[in-house]
Amino acid sequence: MVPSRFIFNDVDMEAWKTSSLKLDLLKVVGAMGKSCAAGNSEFHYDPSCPLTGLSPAMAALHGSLTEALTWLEQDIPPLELSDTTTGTSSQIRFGNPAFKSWHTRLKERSLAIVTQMFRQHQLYTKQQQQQEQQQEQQDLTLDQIEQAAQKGVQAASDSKSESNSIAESEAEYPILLELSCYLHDAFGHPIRLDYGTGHESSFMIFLYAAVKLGWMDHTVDPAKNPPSIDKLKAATISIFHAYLQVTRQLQLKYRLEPAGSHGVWGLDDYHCLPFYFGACQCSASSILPPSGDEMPKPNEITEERARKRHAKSLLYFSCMDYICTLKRGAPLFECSPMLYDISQTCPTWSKVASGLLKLYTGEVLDKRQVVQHFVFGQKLFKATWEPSRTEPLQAPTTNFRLAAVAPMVRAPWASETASIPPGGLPMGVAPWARYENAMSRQSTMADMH
Amino acid sequence: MMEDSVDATSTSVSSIGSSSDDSSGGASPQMGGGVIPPSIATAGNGMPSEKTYHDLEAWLMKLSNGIPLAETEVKSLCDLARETLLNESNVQPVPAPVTVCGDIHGQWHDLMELFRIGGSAPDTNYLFMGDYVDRGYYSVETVTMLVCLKVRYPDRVFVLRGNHESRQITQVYGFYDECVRKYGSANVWKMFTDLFDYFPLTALVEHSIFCLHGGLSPSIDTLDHVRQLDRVQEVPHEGPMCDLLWSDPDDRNGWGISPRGAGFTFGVDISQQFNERNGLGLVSRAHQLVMDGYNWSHEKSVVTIFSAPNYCYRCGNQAAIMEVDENLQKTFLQFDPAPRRGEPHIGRKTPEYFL
Repeated sequence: MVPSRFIFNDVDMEAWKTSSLKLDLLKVVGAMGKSCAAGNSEFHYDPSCPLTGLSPAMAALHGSLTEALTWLEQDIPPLELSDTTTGTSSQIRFGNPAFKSWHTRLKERSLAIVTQMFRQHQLYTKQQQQQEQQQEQQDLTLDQIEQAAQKGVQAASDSKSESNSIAESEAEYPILLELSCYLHDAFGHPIRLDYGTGHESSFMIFLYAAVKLGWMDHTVDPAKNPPSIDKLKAATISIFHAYLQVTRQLQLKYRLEPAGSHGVWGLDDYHCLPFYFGACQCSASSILPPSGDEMPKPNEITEERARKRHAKSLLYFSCMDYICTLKRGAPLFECSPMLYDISQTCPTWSKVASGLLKLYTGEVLDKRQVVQHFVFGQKLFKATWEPSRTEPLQAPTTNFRLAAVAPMVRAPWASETASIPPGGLPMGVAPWARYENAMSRQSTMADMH
Repeated sequence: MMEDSVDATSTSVSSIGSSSDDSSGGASPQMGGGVIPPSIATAGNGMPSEKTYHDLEAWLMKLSNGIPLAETEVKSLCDLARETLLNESNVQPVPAPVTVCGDIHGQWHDLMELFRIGGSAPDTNYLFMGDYVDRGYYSVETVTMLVCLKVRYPDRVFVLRGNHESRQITQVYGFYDECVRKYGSANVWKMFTDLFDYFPLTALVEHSIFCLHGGLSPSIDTLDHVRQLDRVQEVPHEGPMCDLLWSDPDDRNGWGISPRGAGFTFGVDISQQFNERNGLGLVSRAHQLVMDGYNWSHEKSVVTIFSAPNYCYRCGNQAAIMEVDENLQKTFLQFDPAPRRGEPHIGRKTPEYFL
């Protein structure tokens, strides 16, 4: 069973908003944020050595993300723009249709990617089990982490090879299949050719599942041994840096539209969580390791020099640098008033971080326009309510009016209210039954323009 | 249900009257002289007073300098506009020549550029196909300007309703926040969203070009079906009125479920049937970002027009408008964002989540 949608109307939405699942997801987001903010953490992200500190599974994921970058560069270049005057159906409106091919490849290789993550995790937890008698926990050498990452690269470049495949009969198959599906929604929509915070959240759900499986660390029993602060921090910062490299490239090269953007009135057109984790990262200490320089203040994001200087190591500055490179033609207070206001009115990074977590909850997880697209599986990210609809939506196969039987000269809504009467429609008007069916989803205002 | 959240919101920021002395951008398209055009005198719903014209002229002068109207002025404007719009049809007849425009989304400076490219109103006749507000920083200035032009030149400027001209959508995508930020309360938002209910849904240029924001609906076969709709209401979540404002053309034939979650997708077969059945030459619509500002589809039975250049300051797209001459010949004018001067800053406010 592949994961499917569970949020179709306000009732489902309410169920989600008050669910233990949402709470648990937020808990994991918060835990990842806290790990980044932890002043006592030994881990400091080094952009020249991004694998440092990662668990085997996360190293494999890092390798796969790095490899995914090459899909676009080497194999799936954006299609050339065709002449708009020709009126052919294959012409490009905005987003580049080559993204569909990229996405197809993602779907082809996602199972191999998660299988390899699983294998790497398994490899080291087995060792751990064997060594358990002798000592507590042995950390991986950089060599070992690099090997794991290399396996991840292979999984994303050659999904057919045996080491990356998993038989349907294997016990882990259903879980890995479910996990792979969360990746499918994490990089943008292949038909709408857009990307937004919903897709970012899908990546978060993927990481949430990885946390549940214990993959952030390489401990044997994740329930008993939650990941260490250092491991969680390494995964959060390093994986998000790698993930952003991919998503930004997709946004730019395939020209993915900002999905459901609030324009200047939102935090950002595409992202939310990296700002939160980034603010947490900045709040960890007043000194910037390893240089020992002073940690930049929130208001320094307005300075180009500061942005450029910290973009590689500090997630928040990386996000700001990306925005300021892209948004042209107007000052920051106009094209990103919220980020500007945050920088001018929040004195500390912890204040920024707490606000951003609230914003993520309010503007992403509690917005039906976003979460209606979430999919829920059987094991890892399991809905705690029954969805209001179990059959897939169906498009009408004909025009309702043309198909309507003879006596219906006037359509029901041609009356005063322009709506379907409460008692429903006359029996025997087949197309309408379908219409009702298609409409009972209580369509929402998922929006683009 | 949606209005509930409105009255509660009235945190104060610097209000419009005091903060907007600085005219920005230097844009000032000529809005015509003070001569009362016969078109208004014969508009049909009573003779507007001399004072009304002077008000309108004064407001247009302010707006063309990027200065928003005061709240009381917006109130008067919306009252006038309601009278004008109420008399228009769901399928508003529009004479050629006319210049047809797509989404603006609060990009006021670019709207001024549009008038420079296309000619100033009323020297050029305009038909706007919705989505004046949300996302951009200047939705207030943009929509006030367009409504003001509509009232001043009712037979030369036409404004249709887009899916963003709605209470629900504007509460999510920025116009509500902008009004509260610029006026200190949601009153102006309420005035405009109440007015949006009166905007016509579609227009018909010389019985030939059917103009609307989104697209076709499986529950609408003829223009008469559109005429029968009771449009004076919030945009519903479903049904024909919703579809007209939400649907998109698609490469696949027939009707499809829209990935937007509202409206449908429709194929070339549907467009051609609709045009043939209604004796139309073209469906002209907006609603979707287009790299070149305009985009033919469905074997030239549908055209998409998008008039917000470099959308959201980052999309890098051109904007376009479509000139339709007396012989219904179409010419597309493309344009880029207006060059900007350094402009004064309106102030700052701690965002809600960060208080």
